[in-house]
Amino acid sequence: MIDILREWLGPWYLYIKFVHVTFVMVWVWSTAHAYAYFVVPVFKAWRRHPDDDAVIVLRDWVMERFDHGVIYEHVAYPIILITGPLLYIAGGWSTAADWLVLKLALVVLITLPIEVLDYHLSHFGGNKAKIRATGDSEKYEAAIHQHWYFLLYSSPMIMPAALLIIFLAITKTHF
Amino acid sequence: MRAPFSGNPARYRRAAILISAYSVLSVYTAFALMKWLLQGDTWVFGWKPLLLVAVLIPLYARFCYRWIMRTDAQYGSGSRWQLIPAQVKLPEFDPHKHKANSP
Repeated sequence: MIDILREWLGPWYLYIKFVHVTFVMVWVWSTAHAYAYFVVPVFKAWRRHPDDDAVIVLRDWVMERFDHGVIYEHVAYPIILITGPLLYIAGGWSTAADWLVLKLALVVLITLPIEVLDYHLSHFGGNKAKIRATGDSEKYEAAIHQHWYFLLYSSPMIMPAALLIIFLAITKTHF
Repeated sequence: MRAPFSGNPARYRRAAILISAYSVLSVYTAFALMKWLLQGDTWVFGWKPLLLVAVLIPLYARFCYRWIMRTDAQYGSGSRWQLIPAQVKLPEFDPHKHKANSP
């Protein structure tokens, strides 16, 4: 079965790689500017002035725009998860490649749980615009706090992991 | 009355230790098991990888703690940002209006 797939996908390897690498770049960088220059400065202002109503209005607006803006990242991620295994098959790779095994562990154990939680917080139960529409201000404030915790705790994990994934994919390091 | 944010340095320290321990141990364990079970490699259980794991956990925990503290404005950068009073209208996305206008 794998051999048939490999034979069928083999000629398309570079095309699949193009799609994979393009969407990895979208996944990694699409929110970088908004995160660094909008979300973090506004949330820092809120943490230093937690009772300033004007800062809170801006905080809520930025958070809701960020919920919307991560759509690029969240469209890219499933495409990466589909094209990654296709490359594995088409390229004839195996677990003998150290870089690939480490990359696989990073994707499954670090990025996947974070992205699942991010989908929930941004688009489903934790979506701030939807919660605001219910008129429940306590739930809204709790959702903002929850998302800030998520960004605080996930950013030191996902950013080095993403860079390490790109490094391993390019250098194909053997230990 | 809005509930205050519950984040504090002690909580962030605990979180950083957990994040580091989970990240390093889970990735190392998965990597070592795959190399051992699928390729028969035993070097993954040698003293060098284990030393690397032992050194990496406290270093990465410290990195995470400092990252979280800086991001949360507990210390470090961010002091150059100023709060300048301004009255503006913030644009809001209206999906209903968008639907109504579409053919």
